[in-house]
Amino acid sequence: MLKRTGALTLALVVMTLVAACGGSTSTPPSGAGGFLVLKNVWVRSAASGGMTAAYFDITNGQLVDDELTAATSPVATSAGVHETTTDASGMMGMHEVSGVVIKAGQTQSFAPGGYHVMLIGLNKDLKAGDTVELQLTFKVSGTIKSTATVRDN
Amino acid sequence: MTEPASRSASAPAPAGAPLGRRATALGVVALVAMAAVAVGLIAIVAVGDRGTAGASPTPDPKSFAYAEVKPAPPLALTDQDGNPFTMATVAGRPTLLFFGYTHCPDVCPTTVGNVNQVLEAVGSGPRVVFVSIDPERDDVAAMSTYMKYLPDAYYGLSGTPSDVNRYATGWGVQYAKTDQHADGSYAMAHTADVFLVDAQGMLRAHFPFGTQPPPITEAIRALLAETPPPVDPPATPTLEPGATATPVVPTPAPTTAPLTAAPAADLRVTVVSTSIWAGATTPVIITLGDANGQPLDGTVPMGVRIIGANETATGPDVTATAILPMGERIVSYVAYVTIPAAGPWRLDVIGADGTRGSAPITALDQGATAKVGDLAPDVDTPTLSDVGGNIKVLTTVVDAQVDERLYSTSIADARAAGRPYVLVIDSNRFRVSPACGRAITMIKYLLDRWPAVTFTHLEPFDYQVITEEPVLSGSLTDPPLNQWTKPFGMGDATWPATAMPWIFVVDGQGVIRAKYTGIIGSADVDLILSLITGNGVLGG
Repeated sequence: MLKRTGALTLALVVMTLVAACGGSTSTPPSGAGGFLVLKNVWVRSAASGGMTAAYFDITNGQLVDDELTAATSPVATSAGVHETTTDASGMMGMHEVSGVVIKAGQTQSFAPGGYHVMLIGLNKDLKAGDTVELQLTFKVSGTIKSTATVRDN
Repeated sequence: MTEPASRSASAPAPAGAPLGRRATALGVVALVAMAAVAVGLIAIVAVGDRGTAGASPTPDPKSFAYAEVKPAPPLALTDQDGNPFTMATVAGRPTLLFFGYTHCPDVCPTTVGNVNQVLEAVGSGPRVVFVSIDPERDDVAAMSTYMKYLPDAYYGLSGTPSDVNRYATGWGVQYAKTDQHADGSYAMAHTADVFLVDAQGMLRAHFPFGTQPPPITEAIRALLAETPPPVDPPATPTLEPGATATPVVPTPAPTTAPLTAAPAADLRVTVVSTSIWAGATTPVIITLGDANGQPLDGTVPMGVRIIGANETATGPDVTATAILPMGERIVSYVAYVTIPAAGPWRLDVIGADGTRGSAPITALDQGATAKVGDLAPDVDTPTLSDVGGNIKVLTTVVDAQVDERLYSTSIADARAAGRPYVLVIDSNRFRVSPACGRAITMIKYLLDRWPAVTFTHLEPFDYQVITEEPVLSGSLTDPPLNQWTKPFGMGDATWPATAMPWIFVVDGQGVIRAKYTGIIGSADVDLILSLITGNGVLGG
C-alpha cells in the first residue's frame, strides 16, 4: 500500500494547506495513504449574533474511511456537525450528528438541506465576499484548517 | 439542490466559486502544490469531479402546479412593521409564501436565497411572505431585524403561538421543536415547501424545498402575464411574449403605444385598473413612483389628464385622490376621467410640484352595459331566504367554498338601506371565459375586510338544478342570461354573454362607481370601496 502511493513518504510533515478557491487538503497521519481535499468551501452570509451554516465537498483521497466529527471557527462561539433531514410527514428538521463518514475514495457533499457545519453565535456580520476560517476535525486526518468564502446563496 | 453552479448564480462572484467547474483535478494539484511550497513537497491522489453535483434537468414548472386551483388558506398575522397582514395585503400580485424561522441556519436561508434569485429575475412586482413558525423567539422585532437583510418585497410575519398554529395548519404546514439542548437552544423542524399564490388569491403551485429558481421564475412570469401587478415594474405592465390574453381582458399590453411620444418623465406611472371605459366617467387607479421607483406617499397633489392625437387633452385636469388602503404600504391614486372613445390613449399625471409622468391606457367600449356614474339597475337579486335555503339554486360554487354571506342580501335591499355594495356576476360552473370563477374567489378576500359593504354574488345564466347538478338552459357558446343579469346590459355584440365575469361597485346612493370585466384585481374593488367609504383617503 505504501509503495503504491509514493506520496506518503513525502507527506510525513504535518501541515495544513489552504489552496486558492477555498480548497484545502489534509496531511494524513502515516498509514492513511492520501489526502482529504475540501472544495467549494462557503458560508452563508448572516448577521452578527445569529447563526449560519458552512458547506463544502470533501473528497477522501485516503485509502481508509475518515469521519468528520467536530468543527470550530473563530467567528462563532460554537460550531457543530448537523444534518437536515425530512421526516415522513414532510417536515424538514435539523439535528446534530456525531460524525459524518467520508468513505475512502469518495466525495461527500455538505450542502443546503443535507449535512452542514452549523456556526452558532456569530461574533461579527458575515457579508458576501468575506472569508471565514474553519477548522474541521477528522478521526483519521486530524484537524484541517480551511478558508471559506461568504456568499449570499 | 446541491448544485454549486446555480447556487452561485446571483452571488457576487466569490473567490471560492466552485472549483470543480473551472479547474481539472490537475489544476487542483497545481494549486495545492503551490500553496505547499513553504512546507514541502506533496503528492495528492487525483480528485474526480464529484457525482452529486451533476446538473439535473430543470423540471417542468407545470409539475409543481396544483391540479385543482383553490383559494389560498387565510392568514391574519403581523408583519415586521407591526402592521396587520392578511392575504388581501398582497392581493393583485403573485406571491411566494413559505414558513420558517429566523434561527434557521440551513433550510430557510437556502429557500430565501433561491427566492431572492427568483425576485431578481422577475422584477419587483411579486411579493414574498415569510411566516415564522417559531413564535417563542420570533416576534415583530426579530422579524424586523431579519427582514433588514432581505429585499423590500418581503413580509416577515409573526403571531401568537395559537394563531401561528391555526394558520400554519390551514396551509398544511407542520412544525415541531427539535434538537433541544440544556442551554435552552433548539431548532425547529417544519414543512419547507414554497407556495405560489396568484393575484386573485388562488393557490396555484407549491415547490418542494430545494427547487431551483428557474421553474419558480417561469411560474411567476406566467402569472404576471395573466394579471400584471399593480405597482412597480416601471411604467409598462409585464406581458410575456406569446402570452394568451382572454378576449375580454383589457390589460394594456406593451403594444398599445401612446399616440404621441410621452413627455420627459420624472414620475413613474403604473396603471392598476384592469378595466377603463370610454363614453362616460371612469375611474383610473394608478400608483406613482419617483424617478428612482420609490412609491409616492400621497402628500403632493396630483392632476390627471387624458391625451389623444396631436397632444390634445380631452378635458380639464382631474384631481387624483390619494388613498392608502387599510394595511397597505403603497399609496394609490384614483381619478375619475372622461374618455371620448374606445381605443389607446395616454394618461398624463402632473404633480403640484411640477413633476410629470405618463402611461398608455386602453379604453373599452361600454356597449350597452350600465355606465359608471349612472344609477345601478334596481334589481332584486335572489337570496337564500327567497329560495328556501337551497343554495344550489343561487350558486354553482361547490359546497365547501360557498360563503353564505354572498347570498344573504339582495342588492335592492342594500340599496334601500343605503349600503354600498359589490355585485359579482360570475359562474364557477359555467365557465365561458378563462377568468370565470375567479371573481367570486377574489371577492371572498374582501368580505372580511369591508364589513359595512354588502357583497352579492349573482350567477349570470339560467340554469336548472335537477338533482344535485346544475344544468345550463342552453349552450356554453350562447348561454342564456338570467332575468337579474340582463338589466346590467350584457348580451349584445360588444359584451356578449360569454364575456364574464363582471363586477359592479355601487355606492350608498345606488350610483355605479366602478365596473370591471374579465380578469379583475382585488385592488380594483378595494380602492373604490376605500374611496366610497372614506377609508384610507389621504386627500386629493
